Amino acid sequence: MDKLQVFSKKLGSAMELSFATAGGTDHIVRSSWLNSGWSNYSDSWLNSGWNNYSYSWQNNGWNNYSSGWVNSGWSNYGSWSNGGWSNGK
Amino acid sequence: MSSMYLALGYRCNHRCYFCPCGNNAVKTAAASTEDMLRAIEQGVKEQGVRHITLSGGEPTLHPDFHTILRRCAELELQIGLLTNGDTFHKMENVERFFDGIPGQYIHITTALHSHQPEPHDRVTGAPGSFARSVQGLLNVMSRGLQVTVKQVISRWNYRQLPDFVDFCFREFGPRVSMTLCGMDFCGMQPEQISAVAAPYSEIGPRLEKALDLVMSLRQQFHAFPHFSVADLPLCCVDPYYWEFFAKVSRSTLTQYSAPADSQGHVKSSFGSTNDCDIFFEACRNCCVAEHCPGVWRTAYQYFGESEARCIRPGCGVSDNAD
Repeated sequence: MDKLQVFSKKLGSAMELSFATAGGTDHIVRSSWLNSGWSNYSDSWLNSGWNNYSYSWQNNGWNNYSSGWVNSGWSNYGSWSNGGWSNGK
Repeated sequence: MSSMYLALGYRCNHRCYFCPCGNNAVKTAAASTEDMLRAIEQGVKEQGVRHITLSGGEPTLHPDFHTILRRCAELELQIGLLTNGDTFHKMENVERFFDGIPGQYIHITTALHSHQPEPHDRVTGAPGSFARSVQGLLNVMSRGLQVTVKQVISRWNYRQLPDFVDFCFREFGPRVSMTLCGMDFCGMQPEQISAVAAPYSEIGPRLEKALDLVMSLRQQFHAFPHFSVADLPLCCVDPYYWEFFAKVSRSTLTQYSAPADSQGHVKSSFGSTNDCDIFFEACRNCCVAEHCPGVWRTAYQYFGESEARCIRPGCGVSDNAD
């Protein structure tokens, strides 16, 4: 799997990318630590922790949308996750 | 994996502004059902075809649509169905079309041109089409079929990309897939292109906001199991968003197309490649050119060299295309 570092203005830092092919389609995989900061969409602060999308540890922090604290723990998309305490719907 | 593309004639119940099919309907006869079935079986047997795309025009209008679909399922092909979803608004049509066909073989892709009825209907030229297509998608999803909602990005809708993502999540739920695509101007007159073309430099910021929303919805609701951006260059957005960009491998695309000519024969186009590639001069020195979805040739011809940016390792998108 090829790797490449490019600069992200959004993150204000370099990020490492990998390239993989699956099912005849090329995919770019982002391997970086994410701090999503304040999310106006859900009116909450999100700290995504390390996110190599679909297999990563995520701490979603406080989520006002569901009025609860959510710690997704380890999320290999579709597998074990600990939703934590939630007052949500 | 070899794939096949079969247009079941050009007849359509919509008259989309940027679709060339409306002009071809009266000029080109469809191949016979027997010829199409023979072509499918030949593709499976001789070219190892495992995936087929059924398109048109509107494929569900073909009188033998169910017969063709059933044969593809019998051959255990993965079937991509490109449809406007209009005929699905009647549940009896859904039952008739998919009767006896296992759902795991079928993936439906339907284009919605807006999150609102009027702009969508203006594009399709078919009043009420938005409501029918949305209901149609809900009907097929209720039957357990996989659906991708697609939007071809144009000047008419790029500003509302985040609203469109929000609409799809709320209307179709977290399990729907989505794809946002660059536009192919094939068959369009210059004045038509001018009316719909949106520069990548303008699309990029709006696309980023839409993808921010996608990521937020994924985090909270595990929404959009598959979300992709196609036929747009990587340089139109920050590298932070590149994980959404999908590039179909240009090798091993075995293509049949029908109807090919006025005699209505199925024509084979062995080794045909997608006319979406990296065309810009800036791409020559770009460190991600190999992984970039590229743009449609017609878009490159219209926009020219100024719309691409070269990316160098460790650096961001350069201001000068060189």
